[in-house]
Amino acid sequence: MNIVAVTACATGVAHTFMAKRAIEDAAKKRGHDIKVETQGATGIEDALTPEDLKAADILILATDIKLAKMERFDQVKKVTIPVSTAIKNANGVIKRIEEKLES
Amino acid sequence: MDLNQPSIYASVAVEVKGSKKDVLQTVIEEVRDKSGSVFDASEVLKEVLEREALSTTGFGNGFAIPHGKSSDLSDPLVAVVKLADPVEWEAMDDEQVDILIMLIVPKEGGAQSHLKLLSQLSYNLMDEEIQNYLRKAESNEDLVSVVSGIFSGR
Repeated sequence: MNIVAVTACATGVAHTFMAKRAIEDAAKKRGHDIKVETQGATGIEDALTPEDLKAADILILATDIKLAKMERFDQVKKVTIPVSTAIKNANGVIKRIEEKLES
Repeated sequence: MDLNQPSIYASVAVEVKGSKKDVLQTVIEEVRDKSGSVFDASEVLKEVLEREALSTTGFGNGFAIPHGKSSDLSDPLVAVVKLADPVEWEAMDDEQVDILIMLIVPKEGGAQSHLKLLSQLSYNLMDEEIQNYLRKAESNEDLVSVVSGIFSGR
């Protein structure tokens, strides 16, 4: 699958980047392509491009706050989770997505 | 010297019992006394506790990444310590914490580069391999080596 994600947390940095790594590792472990945009206190990094979004099967929004530039995601199938869920159980999130999309 | 490399203080055996606050106070004072960096420990403790109050930095598997600012420092300082006794941290996985990777950054200047340090640390500490290295490290040198590896992008 082609998975894209955006991570953001209320305090701005630590959880945002932990969630990025957790989602990347979980997706790669299951053989998926993954790209994760971070919206932290340092601004937007690894921004998802229109091409990324067009190719994406699913968008994971792992966030506790309102995201910037949400209008980009109107046409993409998405799932929203708390950032802590991504950090604690990214493997479970990826597995649930597989079940939903492949059933 | 690598400009991206903060100074790193390590200790594989910090003996302290008590609450999260007690542990942080002891660790911060030890870092002040032994790292060669001079700073007001009470200011750093206050900063770190304020950050913990926003959301726990205990991200699971016994690890926590407390962080805060100091008006006295001119360069960032990382302390990596292993606690002899695990401490309750209200961690995300509800497990107690026994390895701290603490980041203290200067209050003034370089906000972006300090956030970059924190993002590098947070991102890489989720790596199971790095977690295993830290858990297995038996000497201060081993701890320093793993953490400096994170910042040099190894």
